[in-house]
Amino acid sequence: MSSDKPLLSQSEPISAPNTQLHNHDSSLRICSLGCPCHIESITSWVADEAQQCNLHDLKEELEENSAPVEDKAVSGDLLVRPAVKPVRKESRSAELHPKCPPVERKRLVSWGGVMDLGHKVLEVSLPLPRPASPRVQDSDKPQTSRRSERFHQISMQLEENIPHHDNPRLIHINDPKKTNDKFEFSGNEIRTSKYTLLTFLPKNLFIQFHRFAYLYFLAIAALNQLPPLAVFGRTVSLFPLLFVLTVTAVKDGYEDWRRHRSDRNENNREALVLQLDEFRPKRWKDILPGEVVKISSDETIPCDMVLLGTSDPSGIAYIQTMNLDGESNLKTRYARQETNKVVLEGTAISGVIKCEQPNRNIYEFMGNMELKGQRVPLSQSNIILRGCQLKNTDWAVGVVVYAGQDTKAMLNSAMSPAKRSRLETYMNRETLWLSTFLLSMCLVVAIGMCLWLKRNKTQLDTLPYYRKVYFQKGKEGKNYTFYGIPLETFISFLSSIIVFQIMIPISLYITMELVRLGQSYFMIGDRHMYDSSSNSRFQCRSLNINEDLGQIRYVFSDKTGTLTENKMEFRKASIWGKNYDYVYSVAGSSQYTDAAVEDAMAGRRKWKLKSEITPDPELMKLLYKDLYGEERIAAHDFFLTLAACNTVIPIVTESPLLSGSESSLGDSQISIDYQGESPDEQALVAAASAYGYTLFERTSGHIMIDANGEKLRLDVLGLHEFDSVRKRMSVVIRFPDNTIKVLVKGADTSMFSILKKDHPDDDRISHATQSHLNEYSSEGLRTLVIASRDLTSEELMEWQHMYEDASTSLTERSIKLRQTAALIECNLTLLGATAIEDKLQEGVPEAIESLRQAGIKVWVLTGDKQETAISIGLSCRLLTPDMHQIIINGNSENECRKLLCDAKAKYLVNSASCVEKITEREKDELQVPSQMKSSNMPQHYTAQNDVPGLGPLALIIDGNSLVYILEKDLETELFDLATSCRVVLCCRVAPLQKAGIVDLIKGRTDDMTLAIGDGANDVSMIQMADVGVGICGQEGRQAVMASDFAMGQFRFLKRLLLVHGHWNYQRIGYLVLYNFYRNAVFVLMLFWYILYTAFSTTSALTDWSSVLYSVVYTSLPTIVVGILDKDLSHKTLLKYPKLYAAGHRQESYNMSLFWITMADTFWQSLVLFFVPLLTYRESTIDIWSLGSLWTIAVVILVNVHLAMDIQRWVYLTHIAIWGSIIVTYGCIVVLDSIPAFPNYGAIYHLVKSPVYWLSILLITPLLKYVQICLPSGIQASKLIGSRSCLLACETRKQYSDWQRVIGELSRGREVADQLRLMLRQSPIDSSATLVLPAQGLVSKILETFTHSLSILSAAAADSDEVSQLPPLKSEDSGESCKTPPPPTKDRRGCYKRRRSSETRTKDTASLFEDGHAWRKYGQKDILNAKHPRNYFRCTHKYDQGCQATKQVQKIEDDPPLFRTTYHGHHTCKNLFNPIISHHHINNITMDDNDNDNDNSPIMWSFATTTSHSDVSHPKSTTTCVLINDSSCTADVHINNADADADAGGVKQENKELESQMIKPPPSSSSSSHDYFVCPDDHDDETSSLKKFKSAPYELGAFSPAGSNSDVYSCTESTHSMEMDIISMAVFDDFFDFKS
Amino acid sequence: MSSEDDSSQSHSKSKKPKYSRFTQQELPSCKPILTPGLVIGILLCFAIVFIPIGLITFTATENVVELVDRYDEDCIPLKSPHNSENERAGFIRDAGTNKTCVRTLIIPKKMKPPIYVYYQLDNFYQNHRRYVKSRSDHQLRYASHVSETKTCEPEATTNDNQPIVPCGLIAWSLFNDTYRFSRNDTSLEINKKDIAWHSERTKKFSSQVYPKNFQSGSLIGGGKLDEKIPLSEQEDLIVWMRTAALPTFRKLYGRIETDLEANDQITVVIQNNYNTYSFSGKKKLVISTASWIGGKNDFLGKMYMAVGGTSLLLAIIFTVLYLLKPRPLGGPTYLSWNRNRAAVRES
Repeated sequence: MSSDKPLLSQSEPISAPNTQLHNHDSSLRICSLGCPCHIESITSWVADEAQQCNLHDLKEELEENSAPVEDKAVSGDLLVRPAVKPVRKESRSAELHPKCPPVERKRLVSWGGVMDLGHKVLEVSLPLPRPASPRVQDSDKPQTSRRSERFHQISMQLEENIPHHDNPRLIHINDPKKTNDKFEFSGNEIRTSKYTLLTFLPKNLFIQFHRFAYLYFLAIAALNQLPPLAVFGRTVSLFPLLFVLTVTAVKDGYEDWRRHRSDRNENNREALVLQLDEFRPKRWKDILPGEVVKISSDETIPCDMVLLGTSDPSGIAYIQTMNLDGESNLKTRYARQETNKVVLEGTAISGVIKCEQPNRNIYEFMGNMELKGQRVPLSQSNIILRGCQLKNTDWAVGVVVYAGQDTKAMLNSAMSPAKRSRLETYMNRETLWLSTFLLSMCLVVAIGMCLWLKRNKTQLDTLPYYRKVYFQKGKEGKNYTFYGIPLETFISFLSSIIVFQIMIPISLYITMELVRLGQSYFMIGDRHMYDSSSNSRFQCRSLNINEDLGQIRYVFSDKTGTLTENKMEFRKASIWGKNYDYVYSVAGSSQYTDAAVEDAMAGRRKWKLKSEITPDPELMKLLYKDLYGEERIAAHDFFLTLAACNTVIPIVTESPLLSGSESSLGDSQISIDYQGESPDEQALVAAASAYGYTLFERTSGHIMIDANGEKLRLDVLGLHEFDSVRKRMSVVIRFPDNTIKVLVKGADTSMFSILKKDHPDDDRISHATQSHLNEYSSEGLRTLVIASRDLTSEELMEWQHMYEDASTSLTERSIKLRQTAALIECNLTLLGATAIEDKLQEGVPEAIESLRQAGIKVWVLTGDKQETAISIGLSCRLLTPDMHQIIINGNSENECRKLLCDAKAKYLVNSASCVEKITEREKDELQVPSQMKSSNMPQHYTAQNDVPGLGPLALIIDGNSLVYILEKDLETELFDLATSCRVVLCCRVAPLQKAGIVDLIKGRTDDMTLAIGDGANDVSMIQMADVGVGICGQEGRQAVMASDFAMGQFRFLKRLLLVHGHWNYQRIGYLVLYNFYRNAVFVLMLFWYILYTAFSTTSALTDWSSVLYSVVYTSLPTIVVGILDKDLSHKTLLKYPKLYAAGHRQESYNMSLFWITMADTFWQSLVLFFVPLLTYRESTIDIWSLGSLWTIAVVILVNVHLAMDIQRWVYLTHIAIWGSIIVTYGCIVVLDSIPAFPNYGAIYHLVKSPVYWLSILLITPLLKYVQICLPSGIQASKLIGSRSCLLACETRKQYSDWQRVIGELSRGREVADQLRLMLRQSPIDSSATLVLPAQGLVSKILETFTHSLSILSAAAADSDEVSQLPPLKSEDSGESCKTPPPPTKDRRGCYKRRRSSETRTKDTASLFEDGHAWRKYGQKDILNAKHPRNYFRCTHKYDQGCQATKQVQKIEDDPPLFRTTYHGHHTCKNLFNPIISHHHINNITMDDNDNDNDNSPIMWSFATTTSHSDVSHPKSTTTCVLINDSSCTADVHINNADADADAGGVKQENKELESQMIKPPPSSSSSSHDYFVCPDDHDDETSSLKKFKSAPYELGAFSPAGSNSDVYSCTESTHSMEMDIISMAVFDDFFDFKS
Repeated sequence: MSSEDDSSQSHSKSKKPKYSRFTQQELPSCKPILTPGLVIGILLCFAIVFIPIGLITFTATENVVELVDRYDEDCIPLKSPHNSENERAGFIRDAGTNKTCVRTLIIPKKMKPPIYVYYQLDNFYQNHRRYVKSRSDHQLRYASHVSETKTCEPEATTNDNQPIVPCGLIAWSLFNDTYRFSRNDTSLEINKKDIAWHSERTKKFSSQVYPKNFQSGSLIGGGKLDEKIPLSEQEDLIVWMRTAALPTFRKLYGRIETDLEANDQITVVIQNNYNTYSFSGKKKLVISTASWIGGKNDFLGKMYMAVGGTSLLLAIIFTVLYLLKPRPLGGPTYLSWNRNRAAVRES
C-alpha cells in the first residue's frame, strides 16, 4: 500500500498480453491432459525451474499447437471428472474458497471491471511447463492424497512472482544455522529508534540542518567568527542557534528514548521456540529465521512465519490483523496439509522454504516448500505476519521466514510523508522578498562605506576614530585590519549581513512550531470533538499543517465508516411479496401475547448476540404459527438463506446464565460473535438469528443452524462467492432429508433476470418485491434479493462435475466458476428481499450542509456501487432533488470521452477541443460496440446560455470510467466538468484511484484538499491530500496512522474546519506577518543608525539585547496571541459558515497584506529611530544609553502593536504583553549592572532623566494613533474592516437583546401595577365583570416574561461572552472591558449558563410534560433502586448547544411517585416553546376553562407552531403545518406594538414571523391547544408524534398530505433553522447572506 | 453534559477532555472594537495629555540659556586666507607653536548655576565600530589585567611591547583643549569634579590602575595623562571614554558654580590643542544651563504639541464626519466578501 506506486499501474498490462493468454492456458491444459495424475509434480517443478524457463521458446511452441489442443483439453477434462469422488471434493473445495485472502479479493473487487482482467494478468504470469518434464518419475510417489493436488492447483493461481525473483530466500525449517550460513538475514530484533548514544549527536545535527533556516543561521554565525567581521561577540552570535538546536535535540532525544524503551519491551517478549526438540521460551530478539515457533491463542506473532501446523486438524488458524491493516475481523490462514499432519503427529519437520525477498506488500506472499523431496506451493494464505494475533486457535506452529526488520509489518511502518503547510510555502516567497530587502540594505551600507572611505582616503591613516596604520616601531606603516577599499567594502557588506541577520525571522520557525503545538492542544482538548462512542479524542498527528485547515476547498470523503457508521442493521424485509418494515419500539417483547411466539422467543434467547435486533412480531407470527402455506415456507427458506448463504464465521463462547428465570432451559447461555468480511453479511446472519435461525457452527463441509430450537446440520456442497460480475452469491446445500437446495442472494439487477417466471404468482411476487425494493433503496437502504431453488439429482450431478472441474482448473478458473454458477443460478424462486441500513453517522447531513455553505466542495469517493452511493448521497443531503445528475459510467475510453463531452456540452460552455476530438473519434466509434449507458441528463437544457440558470450539478462517476479517464488525456475534461459541479460522487473506486482523484485536483488547482476516511483503503488518499483526516472507526487504525488528524466522527469535521481551521489560519497568518514586522522594524532601526556611524555597522544596542530581542523580549506575546487569539467566537463561526471563505480568499495572509505590513514597518522604524535621535541630538548622550532607549522603545512598540491587533483580550494576553515589557526592562537592568560590559550603568542614568520617559511616551502613541485612525477613519485595511464589522455585529446584537429585555420587563411592571390598582379598587368578591380585563393584564404580564426569557435564552445560546455583556451607553459604541452589571432581577433565578450546574428536583405522582423537547439518551439501573433511571437531554443539545438535562426515576410504586431532577437551564432559543413549565400553564388553562374558552387571550403567547420536513428521508413528504387559532397572529400584533419603541430589530422579526405563518382558518375551533415535543429524529414520523394534550383538532386544508390527520411535529434541524431565522432577524439585518 | 453523567460513564476510563474555560477557549475576554466614539475619545485623550506636556516641556527648554561658540576656525593664526587642511593640522601638531586663543563671550540672559561647560565636536565618529571596539575594559578595571590589550589595536602596545595604559584608540584620541574662564578679569572657577558618572568612577575605572606608556608613540592622538593619578580620578578620560552615540556630540568639560548675569563678558582662554582639522571636524564651546528636561532642545516639546494638536484636529474632523455622514457600525457592505463583490461590480 505504498503511495509511491505509480497510479493505476496495475491496469497497464491488461491489453497487451491478453491475446497470448489463451495460448498459455491451453498449454497448461495439455499438460494436465497428458498426465493427469502428475499435476503436483509438474506444478512443483514449475515453481522450481521457472526461473530458467525460457518463455520465448515456449510461446512459439505453443502457438503452433494451441488450436488443435483446445478441443482435446475439453474432452480431457471430461475424462478426468468421473475419477473424482464427488462428495469429498465438494466439501474440500468449500473449505478452500476462503483461501483467497479477503483483503486481496476486496481490492480486486474494488477495481471494478478491471478485476477480471487482473485475474488474467495473474494467470499470464503462471509459469509454463515444458512438455518433457524430468520429474515425471515422481509418479510413483505414495498416495499422499489426491486432495492435496487440489490445494496446489488452486494456490498456484496466486503464485505469480517467484519466477521473476532472481534471488529467492532460502529458509531451512528448524535449522537456523544453515538458513543463515551467510549471515545475510537479520535476527528478530527490531529497532524503530533513529539514534544510538554514539550516533545521536552527528545524526541529529545532520537532520536538523536540513532546514534551510538553520543553515543560514549557521552561515551567519560562522561569518561572525571571522575577525574582521566580528560584529557580535563570538559566543553571543552562536547563542540562538545553539538554543534552537538544543531544544530540538532534547525533544528528538526524548522521543527516541521512548522508542528505545518500547523496542526493548518488544524485543524482550518471549515466545516458544523449538530448541532441542522441545518448545522453550526464547526472547523475541533472539529468534532467527528458520526457527520453529509455537504461538498460543491470543498471543501476538513475533515475526513473519509460514504456518506449519495448528491445533485444528484441517490446519486452520484464525488471526486478527488489526495492527497490520486495521481490519478487526478474523482472517483464516492455513497450514499446508502435509506439514500440519507432521506437526500433529509431533515429529520434527525438516525442509526448505524458498520464498521471495522481503517486501512490504502485506497482501502477497509467494514461495514454495520442499518437503521430503516434495514441493508444496505457499501463498499468502499460509503465512502469518508479525503484529497479528492468533485467535480462536489453541496453538499454531510456524517457521520463521522473515524476522525483525525484514517483516512486513516493519517494512510497512514507514512514516507518512511530511507535509508542508500552504501558508509556509507562501511565507517562503515573502522570505525571499525579505532577503532582497536585507541584501539591498547591505548594499547601501557597502556602497556608503566605499564612498566614505574614498572621500577620507587621505586621512584614514591618522583619523582618530579610524587610524588604519600602526605607528609603533617595527610595525610602522603597516595597516591595522585594513585590506584596501574594495575588500573593506565587501567586508562591510558581509558584516552588515550579520547585523541585519534577523531580518529573516529564524525564530519564526520555532515560534510557529510552538504555536501549532498550542493550537493542537486546544484542538485535542475540545470537548465538542470528543466522541463518546469510541471514547476517542481528537488527535493531531501532524504538527505542520494546522493552518491548512482554514483554507480547505475540497473535501474528499470516504463513505462507509466515514459518512456512515459502518454498522449494518437489518431494517426491513419483503417476504413473498409482503413488506415487513416493523420498526421496533422500546416496548420490548411484552407485546407478544401469542404463546407460540413466546416459546419461540424463549428458544431464541438461548443465543446471545452482540447486536440484538427486535423482530417484527407479524413476521414472527408467520414463522411460528402453525400456518403451513407457501408463505410460511418462503419465510422459512428466506431466513435459512440468510443464515446459510454467507461466509460468516460464528464464534461461540459459552457463559453460565446469570438470571434465574431462564435457567429453566437447563442450558448455559451461549453468546455468538459473528465474524465476517462484510458487515452486510453479519447483519443478515444476525437478523436470521433474531428470527430464530441461528448459525452457530461453520466447518469446511457443513454448517449448523439452530432453526427454532431444532439443530440442523446442512452440508455445504458448494459455494459460489460473490463477484462483481454476477453480483450474487449462492450456496448449494444438502438438507438432512437429502433434499438439495441452491440458496442465492444478490443484487436486484442481477437477480430478477434469473428468476422463475412460469407461474403467474411469481410475477405478482416479483412485482411486489420490486416495488418494495424501490421503496427501500429510495430510503437509502442497501437491498439484496433472496431466492432459492430445489435441485434435482441430475442437475446436481451436472453441477458437481462442472464445479469440480472449475475449482480444480488452473486457468480461467473464475470464468469457469461463473459458468458453473450460471448452471444452477437460474429459474430461481423469489423469496424476498432484505433491506439493510447503513446508518448515517450523527450530524452528517448538517455537517455537509455547513461545509457546502462554507464554500467547500464535498466529493464522496466510495467503493460502493452507484445506486448505494446515490442513495447515501441523498440521505446525507449531499445530493438534493433539484440537482442535475450527470452520470458517467463508460466501459471504454471513447465512451467516457463521449459522455464527458456530452455533459460538458450540455452544462458548460462548449469546449471546442472536446467537440473536435469527438468527431475525430466518431469513426473509431463505429467499430466499437457501443453499450452506451444512461446518462441521465435532462434533455431540455440544450442551449448553452442556460448555464447560469441551471440548478446545481452533481457528477456521478464510477471507478471503471475513472480507469480510462485518469489514465488518458481525458483528465482535463473530467477536471473541467467536476470543478463546475457542486457535488461529485465517485463510486466503485479503488484506493489508488481515490488518490488519483485527489491528485487531479491538487495538481491542477491551488486549492487545498482534505481527504477523510477510516479504512485501509483510504490511506493513499489521505496521504495524497494536503490534509488527511482519519476516522477512528470500525475499521481500525490504518487510516488513523496515515492521517494528519484523527477524530471519532465525521461531523467533527465541521467544527474542525469552520472553527479550529479558521482560528488556526487566522492566528498563524497574523503570526507570520507580525514576525516579519517585528524583526523588520528592528533591523531597519539598526540600519538607520548605521547611516550615522560612517557605515561602520556599529550597533547601538548591546550584543545581548540584539540576541535576546527575538528570543526573550518579544517572543512570548506572539506565541500567546498565536495560540489564544480568536477573531470570532465559535458560535458565530458555526452559525455563518460563509466566514470560512476568509481562508479561501487568503484574507489573513497574502501579498498585499505583506506589503502593507512592510510599509507600516518602514514608517514605524523611521519614527522609532528619529524621535530619540532628534531628542538627543547635540547632547552628551552616549551610545549605550541611546541604544538602551532604542531597545526599550522597539520592544514597547512591537508589543503595543501586537496588543492593538489582539481581537480578544484574555488575562493571559495581558500577562504576556505587559509581562514581556517588564521582562525587557529587567534584562536591560541586569545587563547594565554588569561592570564588564561597556554599557555598564547606562539604564540607571537614563531612568533619572525625564526626557527618556517622554520620548518613549512619544514614540508609541505617535505610531499607534496612526494605526487607530487608519482603520476607523479611512478603512484602509480589509482585515480590520471586516473583523470589526463582525465584532460590532456580535456586540450590537447582544446589546439590542439587552435593551429589549429591559423594555419587556419594565412594560410588565407597568401592567402589573395596573393590575394591582384594579384589584385594590374592586371589592374582594370580584364579580365576573372584572375577570376579563384582569385576565388580559395577567396575560400581558406573562407575555413580557415569556418574551424577555426567550430573548435572554437566545442570547445565552448565541454568545459565550454573554456574561461579559456590558451596558452600553451609546447606541453604536462597541464593547468595552468593563465588568458586567449585576444581573437584573428575574424570578427564576440565574439564566446565565455555566454559572453552576443547577439542580432542581421535583417529585410528582405522574409523569408530566414540562413543555420542553426532551430526548432520552440513556437508561440505567441504579444501585438499591427498583426502577431504572431515565436520562433525558434537551433536543437542542447539538444544534443550539442547550445544556439542560433531566433525569426521571420512579421512586415509589404505590402510589406511583416519579422524581424528576433537572440539571441546567434551557438555553435553546425556541420562541414558541413556552419556557414556563407546562404544569404552570395547565393551571392557568384550568382556570380559563371555567370561563369562555374561545377568547382566552392567555393562550396566545403559548401558541405553538410546528413545521415539519423530514430530514432523513428527503423524498418523503414535507409539509408545514401551523396550528392553533388566530391567536398566533394576534400575538404578533401585540408584539408589534411593543416593538415601536425598539428600533428595527423586533419589527423585522415579526415580518419574518408572519411570513412563516400560514394563517389558519379563523373558524377553527379555538379551544384546541396542543403541545408537541420534538421527537427523536430517528424515529419514524408516525410514532414520533407525541401529543400529550390533544383535543379535537381541525386543520382543514392544512392537514398533511399523508392519510393520518395527526400533526407532524418538527424535527430538530428544520425547527432550529427556522428559529434561527426568526431570532436572528436582527442579525440578518446586518448581513446579506443570500449567496 | 452534566458532571453526573460523566461520572456514570467513567467506569471505563473516559478520555473526554476535562472542561475548563481555558481548554475550551472560552476564557472571559473583551473584544475592543474601534468604534467612532472610541476613536474620537482616544484622540481627545491624546490631545488632552499631549498638549499640556508639550507646553510644559517647551517652556522648560525655552528657559534654558545656551551659548555656543565655534572656535576651531578662529583659533588658527591667519597666515593666509585659505589655509589648507594640512597646514592647519600641521599647526596643531606642531608642539612648539603657541596654541592659546582668547575668545570673548557675552551672556545673553542671566544664567544660574549649575552652568555646564561642554565641548562639542562635529563629524567625529566616536561611534565608529573600529573606534568603539578599541578599548580594554578589563585593563581599566583591574590592575592585574593591565596587559590585556588585545582588543586595543592599533594602540595596544608601545614599541618595546609594553602595554599602554589606558590602551586603545578611544583613550589615545583624548580631547585636550582646555578652557580658562574669566569675567571682568576675575577668573571663573570651573569645577571639574564629578563630571563623570559615579558608577564609572567606582566600578569601571580602577583606582589602582595608573596611566603608563600613554601617548608614547610617534603619533600623538590627543591629551596626555598624569601618570601619578589613578584612572578613576582622570575624569576627563572617563567622560571621553563614554563614547558618544552620534557624530555630533557634546562632552561635559566642567561646571561653573556662580551666577552669570546678562551681558556679562566672559573671556575664555582656549588652548587649542586638539586636532580636528585633519578630518574637518568642528569644535565648539558650549555654556548652558539646564532645566529638568535637560539642555536646549525643543524637539520634544514641539513634537508633543504637534501630536496633541493633530489629535485634536482629527478628533474634530471625525466628530464632524460622524455627525454629518454617519456610517452604520457593522454595516454588511464592509464585510470582506461584500466588498470584493462590490469591487467586482465596479470593475
